[in-house]
Amino acid sequence: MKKAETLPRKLEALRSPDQVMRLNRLGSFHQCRLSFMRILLRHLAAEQWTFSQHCFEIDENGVGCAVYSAKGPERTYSLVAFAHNLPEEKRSDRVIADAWDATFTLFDGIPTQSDLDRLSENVPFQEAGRLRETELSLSRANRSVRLWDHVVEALSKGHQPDIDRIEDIGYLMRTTAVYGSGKFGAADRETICDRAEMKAPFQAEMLSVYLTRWFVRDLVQHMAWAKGGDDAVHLHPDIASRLGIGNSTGLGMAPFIINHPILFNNWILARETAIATVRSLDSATDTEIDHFLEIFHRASKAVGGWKSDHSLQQQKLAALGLDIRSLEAKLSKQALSVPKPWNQLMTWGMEHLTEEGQEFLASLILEPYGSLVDELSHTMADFDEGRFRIRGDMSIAELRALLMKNFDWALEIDWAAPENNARVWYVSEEKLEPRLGERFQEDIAPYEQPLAPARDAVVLLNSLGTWEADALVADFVLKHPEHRHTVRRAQITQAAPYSEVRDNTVSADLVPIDMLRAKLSFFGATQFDPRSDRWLRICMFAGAPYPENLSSQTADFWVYPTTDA
Amino acid sequence: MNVSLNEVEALAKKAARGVGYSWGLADEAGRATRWLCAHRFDGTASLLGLLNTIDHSGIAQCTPNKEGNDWRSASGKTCPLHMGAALLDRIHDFECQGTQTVYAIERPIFLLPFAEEAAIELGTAVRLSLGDQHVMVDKNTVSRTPLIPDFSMKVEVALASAELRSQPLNTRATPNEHCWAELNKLASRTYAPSTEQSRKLGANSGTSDND
Repeated sequence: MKKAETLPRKLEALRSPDQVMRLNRLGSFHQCRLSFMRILLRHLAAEQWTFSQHCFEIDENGVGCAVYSAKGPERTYSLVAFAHNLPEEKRSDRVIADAWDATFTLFDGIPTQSDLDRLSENVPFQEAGRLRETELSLSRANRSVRLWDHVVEALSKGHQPDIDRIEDIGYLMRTTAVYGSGKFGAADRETICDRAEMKAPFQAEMLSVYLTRWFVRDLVQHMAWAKGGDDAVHLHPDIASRLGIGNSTGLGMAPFIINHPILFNNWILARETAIATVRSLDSATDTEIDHFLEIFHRASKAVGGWKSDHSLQQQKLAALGLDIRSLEAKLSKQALSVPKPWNQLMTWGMEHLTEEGQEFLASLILEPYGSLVDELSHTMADFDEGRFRIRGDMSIAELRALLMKNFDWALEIDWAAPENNARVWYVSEEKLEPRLGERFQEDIAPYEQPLAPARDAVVLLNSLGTWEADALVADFVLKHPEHRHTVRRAQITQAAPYSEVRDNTVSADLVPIDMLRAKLSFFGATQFDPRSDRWLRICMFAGAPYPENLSSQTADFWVYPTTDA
Repeated sequence: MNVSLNEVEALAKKAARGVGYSWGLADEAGRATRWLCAHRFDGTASLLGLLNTIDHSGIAQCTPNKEGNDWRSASGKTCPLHMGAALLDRIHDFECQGTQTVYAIERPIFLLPFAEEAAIELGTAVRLSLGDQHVMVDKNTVSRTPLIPDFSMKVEVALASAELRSQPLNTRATPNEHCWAELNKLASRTYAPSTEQSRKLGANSGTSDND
């Protein structure tokens, strides 16, 4: 624990929602200590979880089933993996695919043979199968054909794969969906959220991906043995540790941050509180400064290896590269041996860095202060979002004031102009997945989902115009049920200041991947690689210790590559 | 069928939207149906019955109107979701106003989840009287009663004192397959028909994803 005198006496003000909740900034977020992958590995290591491969019945063609278990003080969870022989032409990351190289579920406990038989008839079919309450997730992955064949070929012939290709791609398989809470019959989050290891958000999903990475390493090795026999060699552990699990994510994820305003607020609020806590420190010790500088250099190295073919991300990476150069010039032991060093640094960053650089820095200053900020992970789940009740005794004047506080900027927008109301979020009949359409080119407006809170807030403000200031919200929503969801959101902002994105989510120049990145950064994703303005690839758990090496020494800073490697 | 409560809530919300409920009330439909299933009622069957009526009568005609402590709708088929939400929205003066009377209400069972929320908020049980039948609701518990009718000419909602023991809640629902399929049909009204154009514009998947 930190000594009491180093704890901030008075917390610096949190950054305002006006500053934080812009899509440009949310789309520049980086992983940090409070990312869900890092929370998971710290927890597993602290409780000394043990891991075992229960079965690996996979043939020389790579077809079969494997079970990997993680055992904690109270419970065991098992990844059940099915490996398939997928014809080349069937391999697609799109949500409309119906076959994959591998399919998975996280089982609550250790599955019996009869469980495995049942799962083998359902999990490979993904959305077309059914799960039970004993299953906590459903996911699938495809090989990166660029890397998979190369690694199998190299190992089977007795040599290690080309490190540049490993670095370039970063993963052997990428997941194309990881479903959790209650989906397709799986257990609801509510049934597991009281367990210590599942309290933080998305821990079951993160555990499934962590175990998937282990399985994929074993599978590629198995295929190399099958191909090369005695000539084959083991994949070198240093190379294996650099491999993560890829993920390909599309629009389906974007509405999440709008549909879960309290949960999203809790994530942002935790990170902002952490940032403010560190900024409030009067001074930094030599050890803390050394630690920060080391992590800064390691993180900068990771940025150097971050590649994207997409022009939007290339521009951001170029800017981040310049930001890192500015930071290198600015940062030194001396420069941080000043009063309120982190506050000074962040204030300087506001003037001299792009939003990418500012958010990179904001995440990094938390690193030396796990003992101050890690506890905030307990505040990141939502506490029964569904229970939020409209306060009918609020006056119309109060409601108006709340709306103005959060959406005054939206009144400046001409919502009648086509470019400001250009898009429609809707769900397609085909795959029941969210899509983004063009309001004035397609006949989709009748199917619009409520994902334009700012526009809806302005419509509500207009509708309130004729109501007396002291009239009650209860009377208003009785007469105007069409505004009920917007009234609820407005009232949520009272307790959840970061619940609303402060940008137009239906404008012609919306970049949906900003919404994806905001969410994925909290997962702990790295290497954001947009493939268009609405889907992207990321990497998860790259650099993480495999289960056999997971300990309190290795559980924390794995996300930053060591500078000597 | 054996489904998760999240599946119940998601489908109920979409089906309610499908017959024309506002998004805010569709949310209430989702939560209320989930609540009924968790409390071992056949929530999905009740919802399907309600939505079929609403679909037929038109939602605006089923909106409750308040006159003093009495609530009525134009169609004589008062929507219990809107009604339950309206009672909860007025919970601040529930204690002062006294018994609320709802006339001609469809599927009064849907008042239960709202009554439980009121009970939690006010820290006292809530009693629903349907003629000579009484149902008591408190946190995590509903007094077992004979079947609650599909329609009731008059329901009185009042605060009450009662000692009810908490009941274990279901974590799954077992809807009838036909009912589930019918709700899916209503939900499908919220999905945009797929066209090649929308596929292209909507998911923007031109880039290769097999590499």
